[in-house]
Amino acid sequence: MMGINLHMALRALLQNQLQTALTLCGMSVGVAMVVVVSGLGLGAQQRIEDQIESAGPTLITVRAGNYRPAAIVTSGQQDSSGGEPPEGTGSEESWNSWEEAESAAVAREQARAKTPVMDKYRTPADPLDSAELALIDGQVANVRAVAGTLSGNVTLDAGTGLPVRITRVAGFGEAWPEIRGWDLLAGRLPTASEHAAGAPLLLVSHDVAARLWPAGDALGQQLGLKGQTLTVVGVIRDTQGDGSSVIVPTIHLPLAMAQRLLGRSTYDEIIVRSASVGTTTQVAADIKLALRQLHALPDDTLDDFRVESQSVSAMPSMGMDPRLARAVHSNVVEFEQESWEEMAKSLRQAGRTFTLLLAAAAAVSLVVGGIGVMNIMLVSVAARTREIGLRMALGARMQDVMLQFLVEAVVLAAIGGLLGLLLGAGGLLVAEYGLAWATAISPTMLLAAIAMAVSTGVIFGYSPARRAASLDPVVALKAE
Amino acid sequence: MPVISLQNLKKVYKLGDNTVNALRGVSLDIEEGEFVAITGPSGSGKSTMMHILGCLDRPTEGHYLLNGNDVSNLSRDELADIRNRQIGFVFQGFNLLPRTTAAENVEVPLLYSRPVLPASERRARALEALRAMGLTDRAFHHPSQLSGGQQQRVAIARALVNRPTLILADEPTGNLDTATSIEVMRLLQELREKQKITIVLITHEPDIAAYGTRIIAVRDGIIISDKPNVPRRVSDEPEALPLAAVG
Ligand SMILES: Nc1ncnc2c1ncn2[C@@H]1O[C@H](COP(=O)(O)OP(=O)(O)O)[C@@H](O)[C@H]1O
Ligand SMILES: [Mg+2]
Repeated sequence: MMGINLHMALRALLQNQLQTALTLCGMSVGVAMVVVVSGLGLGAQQRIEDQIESAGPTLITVRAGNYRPAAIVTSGQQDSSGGEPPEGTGSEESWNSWEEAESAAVAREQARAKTPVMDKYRTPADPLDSAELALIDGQVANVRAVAGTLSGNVTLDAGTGLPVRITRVAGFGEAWPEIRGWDLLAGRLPTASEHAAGAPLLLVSHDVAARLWPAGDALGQQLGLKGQTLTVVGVIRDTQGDGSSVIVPTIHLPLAMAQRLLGRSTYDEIIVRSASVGTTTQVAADIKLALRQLHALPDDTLDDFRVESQSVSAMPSMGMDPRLARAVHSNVVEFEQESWEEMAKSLRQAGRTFTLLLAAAAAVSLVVGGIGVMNIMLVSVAARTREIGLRMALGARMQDVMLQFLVEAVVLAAIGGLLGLLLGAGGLLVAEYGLAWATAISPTMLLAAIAMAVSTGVIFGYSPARRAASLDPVVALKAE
Repeated sequence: MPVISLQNLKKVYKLGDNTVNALRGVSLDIEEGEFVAITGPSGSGKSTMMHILGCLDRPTEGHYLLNGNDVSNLSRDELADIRNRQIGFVFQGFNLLPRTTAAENVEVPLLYSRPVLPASERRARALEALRAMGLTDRAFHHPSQLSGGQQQRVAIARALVNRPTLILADEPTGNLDTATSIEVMRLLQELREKQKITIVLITHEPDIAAYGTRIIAVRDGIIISDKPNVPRRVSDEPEALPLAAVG
């Protein structure tokens, strides 16, 4: 019976080509609007979500040592304790020449070498090494990746012909590039076996490459460090900044190699990526707990390590003592997470509001399309009153007539909907590739658009169909 | 048992304050195989009677027994079912669907039969009905490609396709020339004689009424005369033409 109705509907629509074409236009524009608008809205929401994920605190840094509460309150001195590289580069901007700056850096490096790992500002600390890394990797849930790092300055072997004498050696674990979000600009990353063996190779940032080898290609260039010859295999860009503006240029080596060059088996930091923004707080808390157990710390002592859930550079810039800021951050993980979640929430809300607003506009155009369907159906019923009377005389029941016209309206709306999908998909492609707007097409959305078109057909076809079905056969037969 | 039994049938139309008594008490029995011609001047109530006989309308008062069943108070859908299975209509204006082949036009009543026949069966029945009307070679023509006589024969094929017991024809020759009218009347006579189908014909032309076996005259909503008739034969017509030559 459905097949017959479909056949009758298509025939009727074909017999009124102009009206059908006009109605299809209206309908397809309506559906296309829905597709484009929800595609743009979804794209915008996804972009917001991406930005929230990428900007959000999924990065957790674990460092050895912690601040004594007394030190924070009583000392106005800058924190210059050893065990980790200097943060920030502002003070170095004031040197007049590279040579002067380099001399200063060398001096500071020598001073650093003498500084005890623990001083009056620090609690005694277990250094971080592979035991902590393995624990975090294996025992803590929702950890996406974890990697250690270690860095220190090393004097270049004589006769390299490079414009610098010392370089900062930064060892990185295998997961580091992913965690930091490195872009590989040229060459390659070390393989797993090269990481394991501590192969003599290195990566540099684009800026460092330009400084060290201004003449040309950095790839394949070699450096002599403590009698070892290291080859450049890759050029990277660290999206979080890798200190390439530091006077002493940083080179990145496999961790084992860096440990050998620096003569240490520990890490400066362990960095952890949590599985998602929402899990960061819990992951940080779990890491604290796991490390306290590993270090067998009694309940009444402070942590002998710091777990920071995001860069702490923002707070000092707002006028807060950097050590206070760091102490707050590393000891009150939720603090940052919460304010951040507030912001994420309002961003998401804005995205949703945007989509809803657009969708409302699209719905209006769908209603306009629906009114077009209703119009053509009313015209059709009026023009075919005699046919309806005849069908009734030949035995059509009310529901038969009703179904015939409903199917006609739905077929019309569905064809319009399909055309609209194509039109809308085209529009989205233009927006994406022509205008570089964020768009997204989901199968659910396409199905929803078709479903909306069909229900528009049902809703707006209902009343004309009902009118047709309730015609009096005698009156209808007499119609002209 | 009569095919049709009307018992004191009345039909009143209300138009605002005016009431029109279109039928004012009609009683009548029609037996199987009769060819009844109903005549009367315009406005006498012929069409009103036809609509009630055809189950398209319900009487205001009185009873209508079709094949022994009282159909005076059935619902719309029940009446639709009866029209579909028991009654075949032939209209003055043919009432064929435009831009639709003869075969498809003939199939329409089958679309509304329960259970629904498969498409191949519907097509076979339609072609068979068209063949009986001598229209095999016109089965896939549209009405606009057919002459008036051919169109009325398609309409008769449609009326017959669901094997009804009763054919109702309201001025079936009103739009046809004399020669074609005679041809249509011959077909109706043949149906009665060969298939024992009961036929009720409405006409205001005495010439056409003369083909019936019984002539009923109506005036102002009542029957004023009801006489058996020796049906006129097509062969009596001087201008009668063989079927193949009819346009
Ligand atoms: N739907 C209607 N509403 C009101 N009056 C009607 C209607 N149909 C018919 N009539 C009236 O009923 C009477 C009989 O009409 P009808 O049965 O059509 O006569 P006929 O077919 O013999 O010309 C006429 O006076 C006509 O005006
Ligand atoms: Mg009449």
